[in-house]
Amino acid sequence: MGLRVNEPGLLTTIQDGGRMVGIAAGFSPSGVMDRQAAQLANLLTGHSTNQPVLEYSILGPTITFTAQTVIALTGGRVAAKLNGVVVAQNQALVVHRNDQLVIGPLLSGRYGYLAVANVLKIPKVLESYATSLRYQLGGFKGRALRAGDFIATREPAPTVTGIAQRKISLPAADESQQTQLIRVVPGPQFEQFEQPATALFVSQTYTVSKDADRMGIRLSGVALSVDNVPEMLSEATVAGGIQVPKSGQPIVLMADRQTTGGYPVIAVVATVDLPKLVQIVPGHEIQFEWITLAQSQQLLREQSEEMVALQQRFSHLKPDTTRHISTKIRQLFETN
Amino acid sequence: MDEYHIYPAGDAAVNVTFANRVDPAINRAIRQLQSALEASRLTGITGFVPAFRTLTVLYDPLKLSLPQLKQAIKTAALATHQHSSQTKRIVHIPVAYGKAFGPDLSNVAQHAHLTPKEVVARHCHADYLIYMLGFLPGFVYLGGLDPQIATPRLATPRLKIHAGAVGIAGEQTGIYPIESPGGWQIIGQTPLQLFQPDQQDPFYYHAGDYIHFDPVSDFEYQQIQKMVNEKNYQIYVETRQVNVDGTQS
Repeated sequence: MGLRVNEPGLLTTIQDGGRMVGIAAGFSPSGVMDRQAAQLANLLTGHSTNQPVLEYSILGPTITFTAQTVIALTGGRVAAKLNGVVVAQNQALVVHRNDQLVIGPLLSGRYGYLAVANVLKIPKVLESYATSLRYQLGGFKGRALRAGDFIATREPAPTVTGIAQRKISLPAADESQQTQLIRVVPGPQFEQFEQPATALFVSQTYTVSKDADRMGIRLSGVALSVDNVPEMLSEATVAGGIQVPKSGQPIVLMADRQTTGGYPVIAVVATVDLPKLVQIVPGHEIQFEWITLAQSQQLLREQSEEMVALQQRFSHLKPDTTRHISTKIRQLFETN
Repeated sequence: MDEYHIYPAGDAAVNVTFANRVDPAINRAIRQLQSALEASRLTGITGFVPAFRTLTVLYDPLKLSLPQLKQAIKTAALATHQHSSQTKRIVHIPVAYGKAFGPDLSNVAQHAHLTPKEVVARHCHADYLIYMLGFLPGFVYLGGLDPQIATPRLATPRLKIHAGAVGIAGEQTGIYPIESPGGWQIIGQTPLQLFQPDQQDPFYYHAGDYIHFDPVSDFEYQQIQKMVNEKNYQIYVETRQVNVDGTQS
């Protein structure tokens, strides 16, 4: 079994939770941009949360499956078609041999995910499957997928029970032009900024600029004064860290960030709000809101508990008998 | 241990921040703190990123609370007082200098008012302390360059610097572990493959280790390269006991 890439889409890479062991040696962690969406895709297809998935941006790939398996699409909204018929996102889908999935353009959001029940057969580099395009390592040959690629998967296909009940209803993403609130905690250099700068940081709206990619998201707004912020020695960067360079225009650091940086960090995005932020399309507006570290960690705890509850619900699903039988019959025809 | 402050860096990391300067004593304090925390085997610590004046401790807030982590850092910092000596690990890197290996050696010599030979002698004299890694995988920020051979970056950066190139940029010296664009004055080239992606530990060195450059001839360069390609080159790592204040014991 495997995935044949008919059309690669714009930036389709294999990602997991990130290459955490290499950070002290200077490796960007890489990994998925929208961790929540990737984890849901994994749970829907019977995996634990940190398995490798396909991440696509702006335009999704077209893929042919060479045997029956279960898949799920999550993240940014698409109008994906399986053999020409529109299929739903955020639920498990059975695909059969030679079925073709056309994911197409993202209609909202920036990043989408495809998980497959069979484990992708790719090597780990430094304990991770994540693709690092900058260093050309990990994932599928260290690069974005191309037309003609074949990603082999492990056999046999795992049993995924209760397909029909493997769905989640997410609150509809806010696709209006309204300003999205992003919660932040004070960053390690917060105290070095003057009060007008820290006040302006949350009182104004920022526009997500077109320079928004897997490395970082540049924002544009009224410049924050960094004139009296002392020069600093480089130190470790974190996901969601908001650097303020001399220009006064903040940059939010993302998965492919450099591991160290020398710009003062005014704030760090609450981990629970990173998925929301990465899905915001350039040109749209955001506004930051301070919360305490305790609040941020409590939100993370609640989100994690929801994820665990979902995983438990799926693990107790009974086989969906009618579908199971129809699948068996179909398999008989396929093998003959 | 030196005075430090703990600043949260988001909801899953803290910076243990020491005095704001580049100082071997601070590097040593950071290294000792990391060792002591590693030895504590505290559940929930997920990684460490040492830098010039900070030790960033990554943690899982669902497994370890911030007060617990702060307490562990305090305990570990106290424990480091008990060490009277530590091991200095010196990683020897063979380097062919000048000619095609180091096209900017003559620039550096000219700037330093020395002969190329004298530049090489000075560059190979020191044990360079690795303060931190960053910028690129395996890229070392080294301290200890002889100020006489400090040379500004090239006016126009090169689009491609080969993996293994050894260079000088201002008061820094270092090695390009992987191919990259850059403006460093390239004075030599190591035949070693510094990045070994198939190894558990992909580089020979860590922050807190020292690097010593050993000059090799063209002939030796070829010999070492051959051994590297056949995977039977044994890198020379010297270890010495030193007192906590950095003096030899």
